[in-house]
Amino acid sequence: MRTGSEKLWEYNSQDCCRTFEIWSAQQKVVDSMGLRRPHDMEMSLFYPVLRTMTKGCRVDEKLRTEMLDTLQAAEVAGQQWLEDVIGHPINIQSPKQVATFFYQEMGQAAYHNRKTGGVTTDDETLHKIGLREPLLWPIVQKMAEMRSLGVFTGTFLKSLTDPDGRLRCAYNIGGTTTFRFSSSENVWGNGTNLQNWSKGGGLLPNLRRVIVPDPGRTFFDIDLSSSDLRIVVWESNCARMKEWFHEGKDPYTEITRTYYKDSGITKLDPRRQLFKSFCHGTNYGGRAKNLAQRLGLGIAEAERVQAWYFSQFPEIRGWQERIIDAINRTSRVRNAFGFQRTFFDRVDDNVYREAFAWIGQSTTAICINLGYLNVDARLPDVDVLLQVHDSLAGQFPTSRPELADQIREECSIRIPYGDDPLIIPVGVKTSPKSWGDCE
Amino acid sequence: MSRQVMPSGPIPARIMIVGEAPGSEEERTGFPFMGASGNELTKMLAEAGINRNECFITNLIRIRPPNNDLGSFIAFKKKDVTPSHVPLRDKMVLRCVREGYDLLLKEINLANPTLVIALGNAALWALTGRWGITEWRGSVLVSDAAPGRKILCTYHPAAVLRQWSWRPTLVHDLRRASREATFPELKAPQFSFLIRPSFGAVVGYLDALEASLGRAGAVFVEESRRVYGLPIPARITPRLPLAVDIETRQHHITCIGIATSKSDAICIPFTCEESSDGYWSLDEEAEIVLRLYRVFTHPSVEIIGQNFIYDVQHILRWWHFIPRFKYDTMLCQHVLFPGQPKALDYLASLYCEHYAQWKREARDLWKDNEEKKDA
Repeated sequence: MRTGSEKLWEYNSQDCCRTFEIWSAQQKVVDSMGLRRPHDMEMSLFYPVLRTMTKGCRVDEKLRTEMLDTLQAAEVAGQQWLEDVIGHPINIQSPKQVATFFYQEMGQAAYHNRKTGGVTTDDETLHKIGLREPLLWPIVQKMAEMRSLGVFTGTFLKSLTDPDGRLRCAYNIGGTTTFRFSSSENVWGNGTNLQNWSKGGGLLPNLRRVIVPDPGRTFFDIDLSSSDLRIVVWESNCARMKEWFHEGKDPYTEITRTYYKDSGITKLDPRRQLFKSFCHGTNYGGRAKNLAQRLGLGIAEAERVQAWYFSQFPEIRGWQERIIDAINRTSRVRNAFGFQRTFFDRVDDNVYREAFAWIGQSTTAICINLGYLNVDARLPDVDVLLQVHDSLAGQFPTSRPELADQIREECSIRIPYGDDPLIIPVGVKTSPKSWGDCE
Repeated sequence: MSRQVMPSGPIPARIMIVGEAPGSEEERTGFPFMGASGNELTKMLAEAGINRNECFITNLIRIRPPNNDLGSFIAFKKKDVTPSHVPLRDKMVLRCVREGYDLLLKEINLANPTLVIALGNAALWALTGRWGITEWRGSVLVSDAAPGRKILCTYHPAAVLRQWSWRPTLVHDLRRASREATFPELKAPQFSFLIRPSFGAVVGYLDALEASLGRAGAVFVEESRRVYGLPIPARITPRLPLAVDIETRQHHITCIGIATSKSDAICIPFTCEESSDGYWSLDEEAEIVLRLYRVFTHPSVEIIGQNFIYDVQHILRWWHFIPRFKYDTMLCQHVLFPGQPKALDYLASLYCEHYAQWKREARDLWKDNEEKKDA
């Protein structure tokens, strides 16, 4: 009769043998799919990520407590406001109570979740309800604020630090399909998801100010300039936009100027902002109808602008068609670094859109990861403390300000696009005070 | 009264396919797997190299359940049991299920298949007594209902129509079925595990491993098999891959497993049921950890793990060293098929020559242990 322990040991042994067999089989598949380089790159992230996880970030406990108190007070005030307006208590974390309020008390037509079929009251739905019924807009807005406050206090400000006062989280290198990392509470039950530490805005404070450098160190935060658009432009080999980039011009401003035939439009013009969202959505396969809805345009107008955009930049449409063709033939797309994604769902517009976005997002993420590897390998005095979506943050000795330039250099990755490789300009913001103060 | 759907296919048949219950199209035509899911099944079988016409195809239940809901025939909750229900295995079912089950067993004897493919939960349950097709899919098992019969279970094609991304997995399972149908016996992997080693055996094993690493490429001590009952590769490559996995409880390492091949492994325990002080004395444990350090940090070693970043955090915290990591099967799967499942049992169902779910039992055991300890 085997004891429970013996069964566990047998199970553990089998896990090891299975891992061994899977590894041998996988290595053949890696080679047969031509993914040796991407595979080796992903494996090489192991040690740098482990170092980042082990090092952790220093937290300004005083500021964190202050922020927590302020936000909790705002939560109480917000709850009171809602009760006064609605006329009874409501728990906004309860989807059932929120649904009862909007769909029964307020008589709104219910929105349903496409997958589950049940009524939904998620943020997007509330936003739609607010747009449909302006009288409910203030309530919708308040609920959205309150939900954000709840996330801020619960997920970020109350996340546990280790006994040495540092915040450590677990990174999952394979956490997303786009090769960005995901982060979460670590194996010891401390830390949190660091990916959404907000820079603040509205009622919400700049949470990043809670993360501070070690004594004698300066925080840095790098990001890639217009990476999504640049990648689409280089992928499609769009000559006109490439030229704008080479000349140091902002393509969105140039597109807006061309469309409105107004050379006085600047980067701050609201029409440029609108065009930025519109072009971004169009590049990633957004339909005129959906973009119109999202951006508050008429459908006919959106269709007209989209047709104009493709007539001006036919290469982008050509790039999309090539991806659609690849998906239809092989269900697979590949980015400039040779990473690939296979789509297993039924091929439809959603898959195409996902594929367009995957190219841009995965290429950006791999640039960041390569920069991460370079910094880790070549700049021993630099600690990478955070990998947040499309940026890296960390610290270096304040006495060595030249390291900021070296970090920029190491993160300027050459993306192999044939004869015309792309190097996305890297911005390095620094602050001796905190992550949130990086400028 | 719903029309009975009768089986189709040749007798005898090398492959028998068992579904759950007929749908509307099957009810109309009187034959199993005739509707949309049947068409998809035919295509997937063809992709896997199986000719549907050569398979004997049947269902567990012969009449269509109202609203295609199996729950109207099988009581999944106690409150659903009515006086019309009769016991079948561990569940209460309506008589039509019982009759279908009896018929199914007769059909298996009649068709005398080399392999039975169980599609969906109800078929899996009827043939093996297990429930949970998501967990068991891909497994090759022996039926207890039809003793000695080899069963391969996988998703029902209707589930694939709802969740299209499962389709490649189902085709993969059918390919395995095509291979398994060429021989009648269950070929389980022949594992050689050392699971309750003495101190001498552990020390000897780790020393032998270290020696082999020191003489990378040299012929290795064959007598390790004779002395310690565990084979270590007779000839090793300049780099020695070792698959390593730890188990933890309440953040502590309870045991560590090391595999030198797909069939040979040692499990070095650190805690056990018999002694709350641990499996080893303090001195012994220190000796073992020192040897683990020497092996795992040796320049010639290549550690393979599954989600090894989890393991290495525990090793670093408790043993203060970082093993020489080389490959992670979970990360590798991420590179190959981003967005697809990456759990070890799922990967084993894809890549291992022989597969039967093994983690479910261990999970249940672990849960029982936790409950006992909590109590």
